[in-house]
Amino acid sequence: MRKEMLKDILQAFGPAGNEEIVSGVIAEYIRPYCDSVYNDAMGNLICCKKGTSGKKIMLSAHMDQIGFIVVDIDEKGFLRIANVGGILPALSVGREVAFANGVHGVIYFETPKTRDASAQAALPNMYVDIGCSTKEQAEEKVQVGDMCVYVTNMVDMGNRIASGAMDNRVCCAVIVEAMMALQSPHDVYAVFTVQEEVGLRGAAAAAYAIDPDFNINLDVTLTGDTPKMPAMSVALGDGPAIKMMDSSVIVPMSVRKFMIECAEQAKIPYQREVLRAGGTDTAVIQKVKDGILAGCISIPCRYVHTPTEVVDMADVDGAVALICEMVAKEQLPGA
Amino acid sequence: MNMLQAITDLITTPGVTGAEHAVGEVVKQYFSAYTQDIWQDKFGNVYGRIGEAQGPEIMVMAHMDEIGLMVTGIEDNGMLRMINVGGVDPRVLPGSEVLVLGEKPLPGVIGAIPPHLTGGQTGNAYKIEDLVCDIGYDAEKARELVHEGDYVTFAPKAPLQLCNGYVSSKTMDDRALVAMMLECMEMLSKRKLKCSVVFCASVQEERSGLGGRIGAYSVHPDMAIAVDVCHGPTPGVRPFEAAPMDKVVLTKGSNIHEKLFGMLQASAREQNIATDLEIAAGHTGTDAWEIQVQRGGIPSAIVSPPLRYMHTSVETIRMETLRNCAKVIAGMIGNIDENWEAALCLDD
Repeated sequence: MRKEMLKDILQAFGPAGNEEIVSGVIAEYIRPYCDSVYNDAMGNLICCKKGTSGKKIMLSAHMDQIGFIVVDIDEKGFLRIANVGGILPALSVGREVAFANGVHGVIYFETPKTRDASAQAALPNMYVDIGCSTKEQAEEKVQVGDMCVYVTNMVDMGNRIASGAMDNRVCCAVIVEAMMALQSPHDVYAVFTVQEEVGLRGAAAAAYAIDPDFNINLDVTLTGDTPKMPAMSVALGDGPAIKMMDSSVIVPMSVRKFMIECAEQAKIPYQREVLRAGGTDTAVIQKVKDGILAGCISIPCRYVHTPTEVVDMADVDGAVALICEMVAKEQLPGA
Repeated sequence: MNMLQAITDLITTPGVTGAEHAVGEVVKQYFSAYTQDIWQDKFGNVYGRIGEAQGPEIMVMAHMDEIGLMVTGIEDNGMLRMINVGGVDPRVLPGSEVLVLGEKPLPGVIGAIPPHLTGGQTGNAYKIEDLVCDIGYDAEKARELVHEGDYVTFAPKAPLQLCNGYVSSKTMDDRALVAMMLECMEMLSKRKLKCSVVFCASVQEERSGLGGRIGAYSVHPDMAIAVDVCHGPTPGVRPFEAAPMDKVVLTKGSNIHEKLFGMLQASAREQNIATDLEIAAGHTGTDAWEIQVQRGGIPSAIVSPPLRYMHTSVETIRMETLRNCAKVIAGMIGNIDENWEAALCLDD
């Protein structure tokens, strides 16, 4: 994985519903490796590399991230906010945020008697301070309806990397990297979907338009390898996870078998993932038209939906290799 | 057709949601007694068509998937951790015999802490995360034969015949209704029809309704009847939550097309079959919910036999009521004629 590219994709602005900037960053990287690149009406970025078999494979990863939306600006210039996707309020207090236009601010909460009270922080008593003293000043910088996201560095710890946007930009970077390398007899569509974090919205529209023979979705998954985590057999560094089931989807047996065989043939370490709580675009893609066979590669990720999501580069590189192996196969999974 | 034999064959074949292939083969075998027009889609729905090419097409759907469990991990002592697939009632799991569908089928039991060792704390029901499945092997052997993602099903056994025509087993929801569809096919195969009928044994009803959705999209019927179970009376269940075990239940509510409901009710009346109403304000928890909104909208209705102890391994039904469900549907389909479109038109 090219770390500079990963960093650019991680740090591009793109909360659910406002994905134009991150879409542009990904498009720049992927364009030289595709026959066509365009955005659909919802904002999904759809990139196609033509093949000769007449069959279509869709690779997909959501490019939106969780964030906040301004719902009100008060007389003192404080911004009141609501969540865009699954924000953890207490972990947002004391964090820096940025808007699409480059305005930065910090998040805090009302009148804490002690700093320990941050556990009581909830969105209705939280606000963003953008350094203004009046409503008028603030409105010159930010409007009600504008969105902001965590500002986080890409923390490079060597084999492992942290960022507030790992979910799901790491998977976007995996697909870009795979598109640079892959050889396939089929049309390969790389689709970077919008609005996953607010209800798996963009993927269904893109899948309807493309109507692929097979979909490989990519997303992060939870791990059971940190202190006192509930039992889960997925761990960082043991390889990309092949999804069996999560709360939203059951991966068809034919697809699981195909993915596991590909990993074993290419000697790519892999894990089998059963996720107790959490959903992915895979679920809505399966339900399009008369059904689309879909599977999911999950990148194990610690501290999901916090500003410090951590992944292991071995899993990332394994996912790229697994995609290349799968799309090269003449025979795709059937019923 | 021996409906109890069909139920036995269907119930003793595993088919937890997402892995319905084996039970689908049994369904195909039974369908083949009535039609050669049988097909299966990529997610495993099995379809069989009878009747005439002219006139409308009616889809009758019963789901063939069953609730069960999936392995999430293997402990260092060889015990399997699990998660539910569909709405398994964790209160009834301890003490269950199961079959683990690993590299090969392995018998297992779901245990619990002996009452002697709970320190008097027996009041709380178990949660699924607290339970383990014991297959007898140590971790090394267990990990060789079982993987995360493998299914676990209640031990397949022939139904227990209670007194008075009551029958009890796992997976009566909804395999009993798959058998009811066979009875219905048999009744209709002796009649001259003015329509075609697609019978569908669907997948994944217990989780996402995927089978109902893609089945309705691909068949695009003119009307659809989902057949699924509803609650029979048991102690503690309030009267309006349950229907008498000897009545065929028709659902009313936003999921149901009024005219189609009326056609089913008329059929029951013509045959002197007692019916009861189930009122569902919104989601019916059946395939009809997904079917109704496919394509340009599909008139949908639900026919149910009452069942006691839903989502346990002793789901209990009354055979005569099941047969009456088949009669009501067959009668309604037999009544369809050239005026079907007008008959379906909603009043102003």
